[in-house]
Amino acid sequence: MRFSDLAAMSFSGLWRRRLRTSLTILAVVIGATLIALVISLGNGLQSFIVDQFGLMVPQDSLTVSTVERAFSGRGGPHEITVTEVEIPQPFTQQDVARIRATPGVERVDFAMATPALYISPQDSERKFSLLATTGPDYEVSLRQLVAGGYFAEAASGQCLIAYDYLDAFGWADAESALGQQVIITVGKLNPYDRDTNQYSFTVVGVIQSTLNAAEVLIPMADAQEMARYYQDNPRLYTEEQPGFLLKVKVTDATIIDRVARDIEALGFFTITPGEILDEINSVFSVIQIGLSAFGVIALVVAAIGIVNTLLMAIHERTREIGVMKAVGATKGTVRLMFTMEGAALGFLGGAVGVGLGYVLGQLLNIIGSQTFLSGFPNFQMSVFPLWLIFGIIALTTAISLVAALYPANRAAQLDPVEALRYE
Amino acid sequence: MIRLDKVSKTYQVGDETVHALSTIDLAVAKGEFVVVVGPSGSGKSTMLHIIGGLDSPTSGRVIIDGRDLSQASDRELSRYRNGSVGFVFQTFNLHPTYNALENVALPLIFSRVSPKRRLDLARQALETVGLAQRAGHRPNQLSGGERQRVGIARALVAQPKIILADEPTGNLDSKTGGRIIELLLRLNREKGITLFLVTHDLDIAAHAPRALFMRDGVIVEERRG
Repeated sequence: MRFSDLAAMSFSGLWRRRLRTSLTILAVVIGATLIALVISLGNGLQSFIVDQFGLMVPQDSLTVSTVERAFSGRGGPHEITVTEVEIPQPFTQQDVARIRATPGVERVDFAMATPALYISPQDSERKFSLLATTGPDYEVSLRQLVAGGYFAEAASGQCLIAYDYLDAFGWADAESALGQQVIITVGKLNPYDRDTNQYSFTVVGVIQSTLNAAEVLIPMADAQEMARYYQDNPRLYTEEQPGFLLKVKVTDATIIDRVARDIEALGFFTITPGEILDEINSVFSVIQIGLSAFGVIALVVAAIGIVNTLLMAIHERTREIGVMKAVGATKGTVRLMFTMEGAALGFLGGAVGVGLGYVLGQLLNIIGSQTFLSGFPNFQMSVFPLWLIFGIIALTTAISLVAALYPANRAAQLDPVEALRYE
Repeated sequence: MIRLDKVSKTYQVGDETVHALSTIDLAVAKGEFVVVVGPSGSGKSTMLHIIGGLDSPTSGRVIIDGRDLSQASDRELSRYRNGSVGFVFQTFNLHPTYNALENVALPLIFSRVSPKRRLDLARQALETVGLAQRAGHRPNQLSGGERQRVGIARALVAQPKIILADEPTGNLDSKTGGRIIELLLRLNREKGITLFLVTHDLDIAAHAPRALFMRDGVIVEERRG
């Protein structure tokens, strides 16, 4: 039997019972739409997070610490056996020198903590929260600016502020923010020490909206001074006291893993942007697979519907099957015809479901871009790559094909004499 | 050409064994016209199904052109039904959503004939049965006699050597039925197709060149005219 005839016969079989066929397909559509939406929204959020990550972390720089998992806590009490590993030790001058001497390392910077209490516009009593950050040139330049420019690495008293401060400070637009003075107030590490110091900055640039909506980016020299004041330690962040974290820039992003291994061989611990990205991606994969389970359950229910539909169709068309066998259809042909009908149900359901999911996703994109996501013009909530479209259609087709096997086999095994006699 | 060699067919109905056919021996030459008469349950339909490769005997051999059907695979049997025999049914068994032409072309779908050639052959077959002008009609738009002509055209379209007609006039009035018999006889005469005709009509049997009378799975009498 030709494939075109097979397809034509399957579709005419489905067309004869349009309502039943539509209802069966509807079940597939629900499952396919659910999976399509969940995965496309996950894709959107994932690429958003990854993009944001790319705006903050350079691809050719890695973080080095003296302890593994510098940020993670531990559960109950346990005996400390290797003091230098389990109790965080700061880097020494020798450590920095060894890292700097590692082949492929371009430069090493101190990752400075920048403690600040609040920020105020000049001549104002109002105080606003902030997340003060600092970094070398290659990191600062990742920020996308809506106005102004970057400060020089050696500069002091200049800053970049997040877009959201325009509203907070009552500045009309990004252009009018340029040249404005802001005051950052820093306190002391010891909370009983009420002394504060004020640092004045000129706004030279406005950072496009990101997840870091309260970022104030300052030059390293200012950050160093603020940190020294905060800790009462005038030698902090010098070669003798590098701190707990180092930023290492490699000469080329492609050798970053090799450099990370070499630094780890010196007894330190590294985190590369790739590792963080892998972590983010694997979290999203787990979420997407978990949420897709609902869609898969819907598809399993739909598959049962397909079995039912095909069994009814075979029941109705028993005589026709008998005639087809009498005029030369083999068991294989009959089996193929009904398998094809089942697969067609899945294919159509998958195609409609993906289409519906796409439309709903675009709707969410439009609604989002006009409301809560208006600050992120490049962000799509729902992202539909081609693999998703074809993947879902392939999945629903495969599931229905499997569901069709049992009914199709029953049709194939029908005794033609009895089938012809069937009323 | 057709030889049945001690062919038996038994069914199991509950605890009871039904002997549909009991050691039938029969030889039919090419181009013969054989009428099979008998009450219902006499085994005449079963014999037809076995000759047509639609049913297989419990024991015995069915030799068609020197080939033993009882040894054939499903694929071989299907090809035999597709190309060598044509069935004509009492209830026509036409596909309700296909028109006459498409119904006639159905067997050719399974032998992978191209759509164009298929419809050409189907149109020729419809012409042979005198129904070319009704090619586009669906079964429910045709009279009983016309439907049976479509059924005969379908049996004819693959140019078979044997036509097996199981009470083809059973659902028709006697006048229309007579024309259908005439048509079948003409095909037998002009195309040399071996024709088996199962009927209740003793009148047809009386005028046939060869008539088999069956009862309880046995050929009780054979008459040659």
